[in-house]
Amino acid sequence: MALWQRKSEALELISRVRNLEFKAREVAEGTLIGLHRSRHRGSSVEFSELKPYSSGDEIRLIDWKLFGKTDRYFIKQFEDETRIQTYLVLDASGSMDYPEPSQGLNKFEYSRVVAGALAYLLLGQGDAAGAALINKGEFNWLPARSGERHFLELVELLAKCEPAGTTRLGPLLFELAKRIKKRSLIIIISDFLDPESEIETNLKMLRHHKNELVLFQTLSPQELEFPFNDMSWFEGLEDEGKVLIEPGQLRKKYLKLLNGWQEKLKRIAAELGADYELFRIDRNPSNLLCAYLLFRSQTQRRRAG
Amino acid sequence: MSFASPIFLLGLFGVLIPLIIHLWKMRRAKTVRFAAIRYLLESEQVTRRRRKFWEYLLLLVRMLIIAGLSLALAKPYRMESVPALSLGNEQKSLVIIIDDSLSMQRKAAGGSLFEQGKNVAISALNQLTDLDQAALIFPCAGEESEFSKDRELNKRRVRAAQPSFQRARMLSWLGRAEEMLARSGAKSKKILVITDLQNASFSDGLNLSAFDGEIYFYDLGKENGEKNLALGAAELSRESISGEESVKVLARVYNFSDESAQVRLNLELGDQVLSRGSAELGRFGSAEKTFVINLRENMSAEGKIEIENQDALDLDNQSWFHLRGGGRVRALVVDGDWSTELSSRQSYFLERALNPRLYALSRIDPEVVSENGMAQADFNNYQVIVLADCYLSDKAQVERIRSFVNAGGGLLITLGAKVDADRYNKLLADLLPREIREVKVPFAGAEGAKEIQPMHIDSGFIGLPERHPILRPFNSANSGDPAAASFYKYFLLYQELVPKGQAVLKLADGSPILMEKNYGQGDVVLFASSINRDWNDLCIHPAFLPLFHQTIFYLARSLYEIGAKGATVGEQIELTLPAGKSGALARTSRGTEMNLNPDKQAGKSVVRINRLLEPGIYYFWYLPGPLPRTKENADFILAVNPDPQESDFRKISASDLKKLAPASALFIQTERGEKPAPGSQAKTSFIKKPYHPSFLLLLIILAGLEILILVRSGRE
Repeated sequence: MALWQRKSEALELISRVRNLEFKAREVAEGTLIGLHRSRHRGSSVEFSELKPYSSGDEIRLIDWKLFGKTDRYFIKQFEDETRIQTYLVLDASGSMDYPEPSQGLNKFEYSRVVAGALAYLLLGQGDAAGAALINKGEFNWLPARSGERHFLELVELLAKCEPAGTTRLGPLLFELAKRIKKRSLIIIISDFLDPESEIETNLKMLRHHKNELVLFQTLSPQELEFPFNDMSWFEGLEDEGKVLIEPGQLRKKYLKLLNGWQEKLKRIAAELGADYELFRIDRNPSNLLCAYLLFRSQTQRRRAG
Repeated sequence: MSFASPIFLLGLFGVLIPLIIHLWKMRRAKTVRFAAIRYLLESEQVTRRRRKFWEYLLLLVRMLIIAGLSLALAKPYRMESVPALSLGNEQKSLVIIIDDSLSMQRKAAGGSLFEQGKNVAISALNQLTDLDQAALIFPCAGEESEFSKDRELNKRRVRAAQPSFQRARMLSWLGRAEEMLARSGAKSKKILVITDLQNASFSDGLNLSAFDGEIYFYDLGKENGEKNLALGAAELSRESISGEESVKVLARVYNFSDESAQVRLNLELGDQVLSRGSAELGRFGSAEKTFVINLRENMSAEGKIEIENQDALDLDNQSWFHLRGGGRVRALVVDGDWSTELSSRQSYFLERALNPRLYALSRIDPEVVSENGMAQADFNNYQVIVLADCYLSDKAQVERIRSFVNAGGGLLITLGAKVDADRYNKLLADLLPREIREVKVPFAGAEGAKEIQPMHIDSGFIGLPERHPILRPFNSANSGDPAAASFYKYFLLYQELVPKGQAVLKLADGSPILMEKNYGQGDVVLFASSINRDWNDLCIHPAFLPLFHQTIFYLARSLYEIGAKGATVGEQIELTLPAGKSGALARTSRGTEMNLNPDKQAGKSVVRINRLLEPGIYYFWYLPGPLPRTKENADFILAVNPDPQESDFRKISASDLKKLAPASALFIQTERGEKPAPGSQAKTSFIKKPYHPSFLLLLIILAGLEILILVRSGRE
């Protein structure tokens, strides 16, 4: 029985991984179609380190000058100049498990697809990508690497995760800042429904470590429009308690507070030189991602020009 | 409180409905999982207290609406006990006379006696069957309705009736009720008189002993005399106390109770209490209390005397009067007999009488010029011009005078040796009250006799009740007697078929000596003798000063009018319109205005104010007249006061009443049933006083409140 259960779990996981992989590729391909094959290949190389020669290494890479000095063969290793290290930080807290499955894709599933697609795109163009999942108040970490095989590892990590627990995005960003030694592009995909001051402080710290930040806020239409009418008990997803509310009476005030926070987040992003993008989960992720990447490539070209 | 449809009181349980809905909605509320709960909690926290307040207020209002609706549908009413009247079961015609006189406004349970009387009338109407017919009479309002079998219609009429401030003439109206019943041809004729049986109301001198029906007197008055104090109309007269111009206000206070009373009185002028006083009154006694008001310049005010004591009837505790005065008057005295020596001038005595430097309290500033100097004078600076013995050599000046009078100025013409009658008649024809004839010197005995018999002013003329305002100072002996002056020479005036002017004073031989006439907007007064000692000795008599002060004030329209015009509530008054006026406008004490159209009467235009319905000050303006109409420019002011007889609540005795009405058919029933009607039983019946209209009004207010709350909470 236990064996059978483990087997079915494993099968389900495999199916989920395949499914996510498929969806991520689909979104990424859709994005690439939108980008008109703008994949960029860097040609310049930069010396990285020396390693002793072993059979099978290319002879043209032997450092003959060093051979003259040391009488031993060393191979020069080079690194692609445009290769960047990207970390996909995905919020997998309880609040991302919204809306209910009956109302379609929830925020986490949506974010997972977006993260997968981004990983596919990044790895596909030879960049290194890592992932950090914030789940049950902890940190699931996959260091940044490149290669097709790493994509599958990333997808497996994303697929395995189920949203639960409190967010604590702020402290975990602090943890992330400590772990990432090299200057990286950090894409944070979250609903950002945490205490505002913590988020602001830790984003500033990440930026202080010379990282480039991209903030993708995923919100559901229910959160953005608050379309409820009947008097109901509203219960938080992260044990915040519940409250009896006549929605009509509070709609204006609620929307004011939410919009206020979105505006503030945008302002923080602008101050940190980060990009901010809102992902409504009822919209096609390919389109949103494509629009963002186009916007990004244009602004980068402008900066370079 | 009782209910006509108590079943609807079950609806009171309905007040629980909003509460139940509220609780049910809370129970029924489903749980919604929501990610952005943080912002909801924050919003809820901020608005909780205010929302809770509005929520509970709305809940309360809704509960009250349901409670109010249930109560309104249950038709609540109060039973008011009214002693029963037994009007008999036979088919009948009934006339109900409800005494609406001032005395019925005295305080009683339920408001006033009049309100009690209305309840009695409704109770009587309730006794009628569909075959009976009833008519209503309100004596003071002068209203009588036709016979009607519609009881509800009659009840509505009773409820709508208002009390008056007048005296009722009950016997006249009883006679009228008899006529109505006689015309109705009914076999059973009944009259119900609801009254306080006040003695004064039954003093018409009529007798009803021929009536073949039944008269029921429903007596609302109390047996033991109620305490009531009253004020009569104030009498005002001019006074000179230590040389100051002042007005004496005489208040007559009545005590209509069998106990002596100490009365506290206030005199108010404008909005100020000027004076206080008190008077001691014996049982059923009266007393006079005098107040003196020092006149100041420009004084024009409504005044009243008021009794401070509490008594049965408040409305007779005030007596209204009106004072009117003007400012300083500038007069141009044109002296036709000019001389460098002051005492030889024609205007010497007049100038001294008017001049404030010599008579400190005079409000008149005279300026004396010669006839030639008149051309330099600017007439706009003067209200009155005096032509003292002028020849009128400059026709242009005559034209200027004419325009001056036409525009509202006053002109006093005094005659003398310089005056040429023909010239005057030619140049001043339209200004003169009458054409001037020749000079007359009264001789004693037959014509041709040498001894002059001085002529005197006709004192009977001064004493006429409708005396001219110029003669008002002579009410008081302090002002002297014009009749004491001797006239040796005076101009005779032509008698005219259609009189142009009015004689103010005449001599004993009938010759007018002082005449007045309106011209355009102004007035002209003609003194047919000289103003100095040449032709008469009036100028050295005490009457000279007040007579010519008053004449100048009259011409300048700056007289203190002191209480000469007063009337009693309900009285009819007539006003004679001056020439050139086509009507009058009256403003009542309540501020309502009415146009009065004139009737022609003996060649004069007369306006009648039929009934002065309320006490207070009434203002009248002749039309056409100056605009805007202010109290200051009113042509006629009338103080109207209630008849003090109405304040005497003493009742006519049963024996006296029996003398007036056929004793066999007389039934007297008191409020407490102390004297039951012969053959009838004094029972108590009840009438319903409904409340549900008040509840309906409350419902409308609550519904409005609910909408307001909903709009407000929606806005938040």
